[in-house]
Amino acid sequence: MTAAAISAAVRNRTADWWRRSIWVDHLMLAIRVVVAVLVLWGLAGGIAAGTYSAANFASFAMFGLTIGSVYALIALGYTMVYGILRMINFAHGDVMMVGSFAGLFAASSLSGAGLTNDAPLIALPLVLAAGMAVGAAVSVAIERVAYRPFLHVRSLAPLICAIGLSFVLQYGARGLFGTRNRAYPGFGWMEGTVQVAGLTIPIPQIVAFGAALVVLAGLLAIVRLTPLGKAMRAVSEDRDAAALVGIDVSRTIVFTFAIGGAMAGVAGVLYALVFKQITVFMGFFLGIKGFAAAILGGIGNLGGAMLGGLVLGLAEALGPALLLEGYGLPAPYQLKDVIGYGMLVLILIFRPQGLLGERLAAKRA
Amino acid sequence: MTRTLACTAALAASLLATCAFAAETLGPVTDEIGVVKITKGDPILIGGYSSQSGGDTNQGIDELRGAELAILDNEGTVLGFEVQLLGEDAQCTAEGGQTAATKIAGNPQVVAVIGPTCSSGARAGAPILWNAGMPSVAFGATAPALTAADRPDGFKGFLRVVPNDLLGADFTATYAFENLGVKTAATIHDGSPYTEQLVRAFEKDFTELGGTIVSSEAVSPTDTDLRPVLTRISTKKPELIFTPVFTSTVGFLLRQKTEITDLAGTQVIGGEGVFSANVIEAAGPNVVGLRIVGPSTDLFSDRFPVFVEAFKSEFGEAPVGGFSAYGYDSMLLTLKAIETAGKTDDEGNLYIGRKALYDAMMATKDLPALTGTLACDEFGDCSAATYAIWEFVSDDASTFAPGENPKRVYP
Amino acid sequence: MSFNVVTSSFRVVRREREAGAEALRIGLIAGVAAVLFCLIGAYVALDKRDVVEGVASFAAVALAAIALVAGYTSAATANRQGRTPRRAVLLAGGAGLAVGACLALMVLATTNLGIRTILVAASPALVRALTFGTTAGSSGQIFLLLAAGFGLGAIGGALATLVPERLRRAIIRGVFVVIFAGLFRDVFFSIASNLPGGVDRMIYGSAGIRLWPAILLFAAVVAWTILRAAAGKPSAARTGGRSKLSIVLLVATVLVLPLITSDFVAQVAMLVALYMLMGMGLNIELGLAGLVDLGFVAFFAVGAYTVALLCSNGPLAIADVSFWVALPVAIVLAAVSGLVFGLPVLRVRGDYLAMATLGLGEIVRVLVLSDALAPVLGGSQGIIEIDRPVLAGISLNTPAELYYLALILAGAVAFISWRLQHARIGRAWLAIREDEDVAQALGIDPVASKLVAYSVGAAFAGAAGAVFAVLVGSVFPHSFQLLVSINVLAILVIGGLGSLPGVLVGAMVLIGLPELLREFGEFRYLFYGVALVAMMHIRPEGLWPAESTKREMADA
Repeated sequence: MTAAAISAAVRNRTADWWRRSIWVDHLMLAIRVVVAVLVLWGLAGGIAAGTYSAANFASFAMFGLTIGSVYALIALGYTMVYGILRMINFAHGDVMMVGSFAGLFAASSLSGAGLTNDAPLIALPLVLAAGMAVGAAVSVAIERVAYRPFLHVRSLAPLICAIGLSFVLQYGARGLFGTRNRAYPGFGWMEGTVQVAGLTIPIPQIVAFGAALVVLAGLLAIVRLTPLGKAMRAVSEDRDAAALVGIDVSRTIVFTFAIGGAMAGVAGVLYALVFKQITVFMGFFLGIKGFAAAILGGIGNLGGAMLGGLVLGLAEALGPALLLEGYGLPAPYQLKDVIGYGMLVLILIFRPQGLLGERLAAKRA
Repeated sequence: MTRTLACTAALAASLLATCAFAAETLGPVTDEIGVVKITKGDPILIGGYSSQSGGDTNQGIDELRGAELAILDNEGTVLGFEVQLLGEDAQCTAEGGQTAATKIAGNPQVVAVIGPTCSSGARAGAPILWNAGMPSVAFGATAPALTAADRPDGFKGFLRVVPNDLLGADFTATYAFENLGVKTAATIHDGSPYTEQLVRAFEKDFTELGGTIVSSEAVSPTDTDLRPVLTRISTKKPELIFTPVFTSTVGFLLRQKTEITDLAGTQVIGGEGVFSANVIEAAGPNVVGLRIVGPSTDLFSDRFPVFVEAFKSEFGEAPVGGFSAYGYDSMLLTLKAIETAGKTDDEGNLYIGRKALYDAMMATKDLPALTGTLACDEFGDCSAATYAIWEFVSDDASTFAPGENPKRVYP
Repeated sequence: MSFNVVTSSFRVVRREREAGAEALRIGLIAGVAAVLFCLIGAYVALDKRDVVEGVASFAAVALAAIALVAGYTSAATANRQGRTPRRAVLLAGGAGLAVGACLALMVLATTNLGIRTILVAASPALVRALTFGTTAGSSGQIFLLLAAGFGLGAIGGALATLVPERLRRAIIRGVFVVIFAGLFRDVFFSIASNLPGGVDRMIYGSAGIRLWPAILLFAAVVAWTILRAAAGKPSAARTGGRSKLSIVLLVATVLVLPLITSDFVAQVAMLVALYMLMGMGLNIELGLAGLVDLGFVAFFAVGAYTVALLCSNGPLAIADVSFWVALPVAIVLAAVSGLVFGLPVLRVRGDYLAMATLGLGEIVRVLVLSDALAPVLGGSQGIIEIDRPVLAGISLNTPAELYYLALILAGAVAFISWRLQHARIGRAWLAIREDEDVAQALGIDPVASKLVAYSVGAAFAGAAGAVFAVLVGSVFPHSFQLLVSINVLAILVIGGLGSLPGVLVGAMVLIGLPELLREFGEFRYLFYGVALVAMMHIRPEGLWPAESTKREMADA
């Protein structure tokens, strides 16, 4: 094809698009252009400012992946529940907080026996188990109170109940465990660091990242390979039809909540391992971020949740350095949520189904 | 209906005047604002408003608990009357302070009020209380404007036992520049009016002394990963980071600072928001070397550990931040003033003149309290306002005791 | 998904166990609830708050209610299963005993095991508070707890089985009224203070209602209920004229409330009115057009900041005009911001829309708070010294005066909503909510309709923000948290989606009650959460549902 033919084809397609599009499309195009210009300008300015070295950027990426894997772990639980019920569990972040506290008490008692420092490889699984067990139990309780009674009605009742339970968990935990910040005991050699390609990486961050991958693989295995997973997929496709072919729908839903809660427990413990201190109010905002990550990746999609978490984490860590430095704004890291949420909104504008989500039928969406 | 109309007319006439503001005589007491009669057997009601929900929950609960302890230390009574603290939630917002203050002001039996936690709440709440004839003693609102010479009349009834930001910032800047000898500093605030104001005042004073502020950053109280911010600061290589933020953020900051190699030699000075055992737990081993600005005087070192013990046995946990002591002091000041202003009649009823009580509060002098010796100036600043720099020397939370851990390093 | 909700005919029915097992189950659940109530520190804190002065604290009432309800429910179950009344009461006593046993165990654990290292509220103060005259930690205290549990459970059971229905209804209503009167002391005390002769002080003590007035009130309510029932009048709750009567009552209350009560009640009413304004705005977006918006607070912020910038005396003011000029500007700017928000997210649906709007709302909050925009918007120090509105030379200062301002706005907004709802655009919104594709096929322009919904909703919220700014006299970024958006959403759902009176009722329940109970402090949001869950269980369709929802619920 000659260059002339190519340019003719491009002209044709442009004219075609122009003819068929409505003003909304034009506006979207305008937004794209404006955003692209702003981003490029910020990038160029940031690089020209030369505040950061390459090593700095490598560190930023590592920070982003660390917090991103925590977001991803929360998002995985969110997405599990969403996939089967098509409902958001607003209390999920607080389940994570409760799991984290369960882990704390387990770790404290193990630390009394000297186990956490001497044998972190034995202690950590036990602490994780405590977090998972309590997370699963609380999650099942939430299903019982907020979701099961409303399975057959069309209303926002489950959402409001979940919001209510989120308050109950936060302020209940505050009353039970107190307001102060709590710290996990030390985990021996697991507190150390390793050198990778000139970067000093704390081991807990590698553990968190690895755990997120393992959890993702495990969940995929459950959903794809086990009979329970088959039942989950069936229930998520069509609850009535699944019941008709003999699947115990309510049991499947309970199991899904249990798994989601256990994932929240894992997230809570690993969060505490990386960031060391926990409070009763930490769950809500992390939950919102996890929700954002799940949406970003395409809700209901496990791989998407993982990807969404990492992308959100990277955007928060790298965004201000890359984009805002060029504008010379004061205190750019105060605006990291603007970058994170801004990216989320933009991705949703251009890919309304999220990064890996499928375009859902209108009835579902 | 007529009452409301009368109120409206009076309010329109002057901010100060309300329906209650006419000289009143009850029993043996005549008072130009009004008199509260407390029948024998009834409790003396003291209002309290602080942040008990939302992000600043810890601080607000600490403060009211501190105040409860002051009542307990007084055997729960003043002049033989039981004292009851009516705590209200004011969140950390202007409308929260306003609603809580309106609620307290609606109870004519309340003689005085302690609180609030946040300056925004005081701005909206204090005039409402004073319009009802109730003086308020703040334990957390530190904004200088609240006790400035040109403050509006509605703030006449506003006192505080917590020092105003300007003093603390000046002290810290002088200490940093002259005693530590640092010439470059970075600051971090968390977006709350309190920390922002303190940081700005510090920046101004530090620059005036000849120092340079190389980086002026902000985070959010819900942030958990501060490493990106710290990395940004590290590119400017400051000798000092001044950050009067609260326990969580200080914990994250100190723990994550070790991961930023360029900040290895940078010192951190925190504010009194972290004057507690909890910061030791939050920051872990990295707390050693943390310096904070806090109240001074030997009184403080003597009495504070006893207070913390009492707090623990009463509420099951130690105070989360350093503000509980101000809660204690605000109540102490109030109780002492009631002792002066209260008059009993033959039947044993108690009468408290509102203006008399206010005058007694404003006349507070040489009152030995937790955070030092309290004395009120004509604008309602009653804080001891003697500062010290304290340094944490051990990461064992059970060793917390001002004087030992943290140790006083200056003056 | 959660906002349009996929429904199915699938319904989970719990199998009921045999009466004895059921009583045990109920007793244990109630016992755990009672223990949790104590261990979160609520008992000690609320023991200071009297419902009936000097007789019953709120904490004691709550614990007693737990045991009573446990007994009542188990006896009712036993009754349904055809057990004799005697046996039913016995079972009810058993359930109450289980509650008492749980509490007794807790007391023992608190005194003998060191559970306080984990549970901070398991304090000597708690054990002391639960002694009721016996010695702390003694066997007498344990026995008392068990006996009280059994007794209360049995009373609850007797109420469920032995007492005739009419009397039972009357007694329950009487108890509720007394608790209500004690709990909302501030409201009723301020009403009573209009009466001459110190009646207010005779009825109310410093915290709760006094004993004799409480007994009189109880007797009066019981007698009145029985007499009414005996007179053969159908109780108001079942007549068709209910909604008309209730509307008249509501309107009357709303109009005179601040006049006969205190500034505090007026202030609360004012906040309720503000949330009503916002609720009606979101009702257009969500209730009618089905557009989920979790960033609604942004429009509220736009309205508040516009007025602040235009009416402040402070250094940040860009003009110093009167509120009456600033108000329309704020409304228009909010509507424009609604358009700006609506445009990009037009194609986004469902949960994705929820997240996108949540993100936009948070972006606005962070920007307003940021140091970057501080020179314009004041950053964390906010904007202060906002002038109060002046009407005919009189400055509107008191909460009551501002309340009427908000009320007039709310009335106007309600009228506009009502007209819109029944206009062409309203039907278009409903069609889009039900099925966007079909609506489009019917010739409705979804883009334009949605944008109108966004900007109208935003304009209402902007009006609320404008009044908020002058009410508080200053604006700070901390007033514009995500929680506000969530509250507005909850108001809508609790009141009944798409229903205008529902917004009023929802705002009264979700904003008014928590504001009135400010002294519950740290437990306020806990109870708020419990109330959200409970209300959704009792009335999933909302307290005052729209007609269409009622029909759907009946079909489900």
